[in-house]
Amino acid sequence: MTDERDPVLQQLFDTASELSHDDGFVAEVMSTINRRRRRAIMGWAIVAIALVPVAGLFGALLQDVVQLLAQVLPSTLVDTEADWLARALAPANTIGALVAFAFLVLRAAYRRIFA
Amino acid sequence: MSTARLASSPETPEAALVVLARKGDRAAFEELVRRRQPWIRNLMRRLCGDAVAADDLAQQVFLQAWKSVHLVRQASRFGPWLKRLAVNTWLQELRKGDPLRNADEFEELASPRQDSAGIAMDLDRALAALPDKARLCVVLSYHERMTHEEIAEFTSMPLGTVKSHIRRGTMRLQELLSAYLEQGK
Repeated sequence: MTDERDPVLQQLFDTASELSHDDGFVAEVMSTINRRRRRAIMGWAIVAIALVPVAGLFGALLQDVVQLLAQVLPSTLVDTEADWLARALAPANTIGALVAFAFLVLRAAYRRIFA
Repeated sequence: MSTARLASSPETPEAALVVLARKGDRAAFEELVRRRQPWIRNLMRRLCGDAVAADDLAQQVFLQAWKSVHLVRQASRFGPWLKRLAVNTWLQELRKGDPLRNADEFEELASPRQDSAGIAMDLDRALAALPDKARLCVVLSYHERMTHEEIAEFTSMPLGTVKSHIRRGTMRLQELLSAYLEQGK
């Protein structure tokens, strides 16, 4: 079968598609968007308020985690004998670079799937 | 022209509205919804066969569009992007259950109707009698005027399957809507 369409059916589809503009529909979509935005802001505000006592309780632990990350992320992945090679690879040859690369790959995949 | 006036002007090109909407401009997105809603609501009605459910699905499409409009890479390709979103929303609805549960049963047509609302109702009832995949292919072919290759690429179905769905779907519609076809000859 080629891409040819039944002309009478095509005419029926064209006639049936004469749905006019509906400002009520537009208003409904926009009010739902506004409602969800308000709800999201409220949610974030509640999370922020809830985080204040949590920060007080776990502040020291959080500081330890940040210090640990600061030590781990710049660590080299592969040790090289040659000094010049180690210097040349330095920006990419770290755990931090690996994490950043993984993040970029995941973000690109997300955009490819949902864009 | 100020951004606010540009966003709500009916003369503003769609690509400019998309660029503004990508930055979170709600007035620009509202204008996009205003321009695109008859098309998306019609598409959903053909797929779904129930006006209320179709409008709910169309609303879901626009809400999803607002959430992910920042991902539109080419502003000029907003239409195809929105169509893909609409079809994906429909496919998700299919996976959830029977979206045609509220669609009217097809009854033998006594005589063809002349008004567009009546024709739309008969067409939607006839489409509801087709299997899900066949209905999707037929709607994309007739309502969206997509080629078989485009439909195959769009739905990730093999080309042969798409052709077969459209051939069988068309035959079934010709049978169900024979009153219109006889009148059209």
